[in-house]
Amino acid sequence: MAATNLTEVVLLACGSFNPITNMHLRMFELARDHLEDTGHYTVVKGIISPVGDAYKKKGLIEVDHRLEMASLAADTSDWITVDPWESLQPEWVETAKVVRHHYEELLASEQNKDAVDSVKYAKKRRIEDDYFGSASHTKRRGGSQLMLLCGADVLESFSVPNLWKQEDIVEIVGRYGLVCITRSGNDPHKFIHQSDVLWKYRKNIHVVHEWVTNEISATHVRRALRRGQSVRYLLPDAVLCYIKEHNLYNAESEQKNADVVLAPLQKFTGASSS
Amino acid sequence: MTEASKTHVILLSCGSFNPVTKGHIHMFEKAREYLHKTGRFIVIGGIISPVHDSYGKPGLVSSRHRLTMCQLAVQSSDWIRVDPWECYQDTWQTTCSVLEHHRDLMKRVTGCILSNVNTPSTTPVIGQPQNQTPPPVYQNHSNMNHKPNAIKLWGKISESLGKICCVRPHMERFTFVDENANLGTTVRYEEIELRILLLCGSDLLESFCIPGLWKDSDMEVIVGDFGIVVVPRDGADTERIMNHSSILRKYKDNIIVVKDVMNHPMSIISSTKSRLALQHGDGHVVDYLSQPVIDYILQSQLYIKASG
Repeated sequence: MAATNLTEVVLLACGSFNPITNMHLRMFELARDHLEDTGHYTVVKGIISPVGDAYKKKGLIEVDHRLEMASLAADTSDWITVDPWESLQPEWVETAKVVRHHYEELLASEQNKDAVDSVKYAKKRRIEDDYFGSASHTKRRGGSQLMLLCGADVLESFSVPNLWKQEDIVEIVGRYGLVCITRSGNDPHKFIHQSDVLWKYRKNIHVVHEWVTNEISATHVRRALRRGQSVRYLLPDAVLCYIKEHNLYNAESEQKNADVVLAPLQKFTGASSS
Repeated sequence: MTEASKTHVILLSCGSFNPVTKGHIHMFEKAREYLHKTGRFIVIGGIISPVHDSYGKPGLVSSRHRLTMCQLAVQSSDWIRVDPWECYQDTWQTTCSVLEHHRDLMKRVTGCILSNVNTPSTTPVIGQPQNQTPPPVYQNHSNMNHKPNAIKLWGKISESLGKICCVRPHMERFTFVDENANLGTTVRYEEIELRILLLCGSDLLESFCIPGLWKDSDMEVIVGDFGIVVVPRDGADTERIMNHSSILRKYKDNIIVVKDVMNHPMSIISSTKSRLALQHGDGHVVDYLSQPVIDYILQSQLYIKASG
């Protein structure tokens, strides 16, 4: 079990996982190393949350396959799991809603702990001063923490004025936390520095310098598969077997959703607003 | 087998916004409506980018005020936002560099916008203006210092410079080697092509024909690489204007003129008229400016003295 002074952390990664690759798994490992190295955290669980088919991304194959491949990959780990909740929703779900869902699940599972633990937890709790006046946005001390595993582009987008609603940013970095994996050394810290909100919650933003976490390797994998090239060692063997067995990822699958508008942008189609 | 997919567009409007008028907002709305009607575009955001204080135009109030007024003007919009980047630079920026800045920024952040680390409520992405919080200060970036010779001439023309709209009609011209490559001014992410187009009124188009006002290389980038969407006003004859410039003729496919806006009462609104109305206590100002903007102007005592 965790030492009493360490905060337990659950890492959540959202994405297409189309397909899951070793880069995705490495991301979790890097994040865990970084957090535990600070001496304040112990990472107890990693959650892979594949996006639902309703996202309508071009080339996105059926969620059942993606879930199965993610499970085969997670089987190689003793702390990374797959959660199908997001993928089972009938409509596309914004990432913040997914994070909120998993946060609530985490709270609920904590409430089920025995009485001794709840007393200890209540004593450690303190409400942080919240600049924007909403206590519900503050992180709880002493309980488990849910952090979103993402790329540094998220940080940069948060530091662009008026791009996001202020309260959304506060929720993500205030109540939860970010672990940003980045290749470029200095930029993420610049974004934290140039934004008052990010600066205030800088202790909840962990920048890990390594791979760029986006879909590049999955794109490369799909392209290589279409061309009959080897993708061995880019993803777990079990996942590769599954892909071969079911003949996933060909020229036809890449055209899926080719004419459809990506779910988050669908509201921009049609008549203009007021 | 399938139709070409739509181009996703962000409309960027540069100008003094001194002050921002109902006409400016109307321009954005008309451009979006028209682009959607063509069936080839999805407008996913609009950006108002007020010019830097060092622009040197007489009567230009401080960027602090102009930014606040712009934010008040778009506070109920779910797709238009105000970006203070230009105002926060060390000096005046060329239109070209503003376009390039936003293109490069979108390249880096579009991915997360589209995968949407945001709330369910209303618009994610590009349209949530803040109401009272002052915008965070950008760090100063080192920027190219173009000679401001053009500024003086510019000043005469630029009443509604903010609005340049260009629409690039043909998708088939873009060939992408790699789904994640960013080629030229087009951002490609998640198989989506995103273009930044300059939104403007016909007066900006006219200014392209003034010899020496614009650098040819800048025009090539603005019209050739990006594209413009033009909302005509005051009875302008855009065909004639475009014929007067070789660069505009060369890239006429990249210039979309929004139709059906002439004779609309909004097309005669201007910031100049608004300032005059304010100076003379003319009640018509409520036709030109939105109420929150008027309230702010009165409260901050802007535009009291005649200028320019």
